Amino acid sequence: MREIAKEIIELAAGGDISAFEEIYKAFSSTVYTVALGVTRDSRDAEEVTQDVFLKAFRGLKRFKFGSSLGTWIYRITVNTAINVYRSGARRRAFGMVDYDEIKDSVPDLRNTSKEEIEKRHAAESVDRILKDLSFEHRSCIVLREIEGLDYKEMAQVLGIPINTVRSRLKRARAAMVTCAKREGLNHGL
Amino acid sequence: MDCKRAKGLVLSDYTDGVLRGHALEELELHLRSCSSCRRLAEGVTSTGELLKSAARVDAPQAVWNRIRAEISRILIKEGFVETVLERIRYGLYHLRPTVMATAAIIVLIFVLATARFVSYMNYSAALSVREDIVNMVSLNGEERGSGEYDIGTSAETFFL
Repeated sequence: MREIAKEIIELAAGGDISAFEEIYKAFSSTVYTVALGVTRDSRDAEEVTQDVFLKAFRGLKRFKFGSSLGTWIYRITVNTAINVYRSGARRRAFGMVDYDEIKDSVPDLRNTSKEEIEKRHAAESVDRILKDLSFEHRSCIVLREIEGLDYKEMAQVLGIPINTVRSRLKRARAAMVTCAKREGLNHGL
Repeated sequence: MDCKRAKGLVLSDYTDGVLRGHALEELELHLRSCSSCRRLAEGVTSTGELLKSAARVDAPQAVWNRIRAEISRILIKEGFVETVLERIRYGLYHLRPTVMATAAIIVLIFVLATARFVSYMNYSAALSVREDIVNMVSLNGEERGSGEYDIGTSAETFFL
């Protein structure tokens, strides 16, 4: 998990928008990726990202340096994503990620190379695999496989004991492999 | 090692690289001889790699623009509240004699009003007791019909 200098956090907590932008740059990709991984909807992911950073801005004055800023932001992200996912007020039917809205970060297919097409196919496979998982399993898989958090960090973010992380991850991976098999990946299974 | 235990380890500690020592050796031995568990291990690893390679996405620039605009609004609002609080603090500090005199007058008015109200309540209560005694004594005199009230008793003289 990337960390930010204490001075930057203190400046941001005091209302320095440039300092806060540094925090945003350090964590926005992580927050958006987790939000997209959990909600599987680019608009919801944007909403979650916006909410997370506004909550972080308001909460920085109360941030205790005993814990990691990254863990704190992950925790806000997962909780916010849960709320947005469960609210369903603005959420549309459970569809594919809208790639037009994230074209800044995904290559334009008009200039496609073989590598880019493969990347796009991989992204679509990932989308289908994650979509087939339950919300609980998806959160685990995103934090472990995509973000690379260890068990202790996952326990802190999810607010559960390490042994629960381990057992939840086992079930999540079993479900993930089953989905991958259904998607035609891992033919050998 | 049986397949149930091996699969449990493949789905957690082994894949995450936290399995050590004898348990790791036992599992690796099992994977060499069991194609089902080996395929599971390969499937978990390859799907994990697929997720790692494809799922990281940057947030659109529009998100930061919205956050920045909202933070500016928050800072303006906080600045306004801070200005109002600062003015109140300034006023309390610099206008202290005036504020103290006004407070003293308000307290004095309150004390006087309270004292007058208590006095009025005592007077009303006394009047009420007097009327009760008059009624009681008059009633006794009429019932007896002896004219004692008219003559004047020691009780009448004392109370009335």
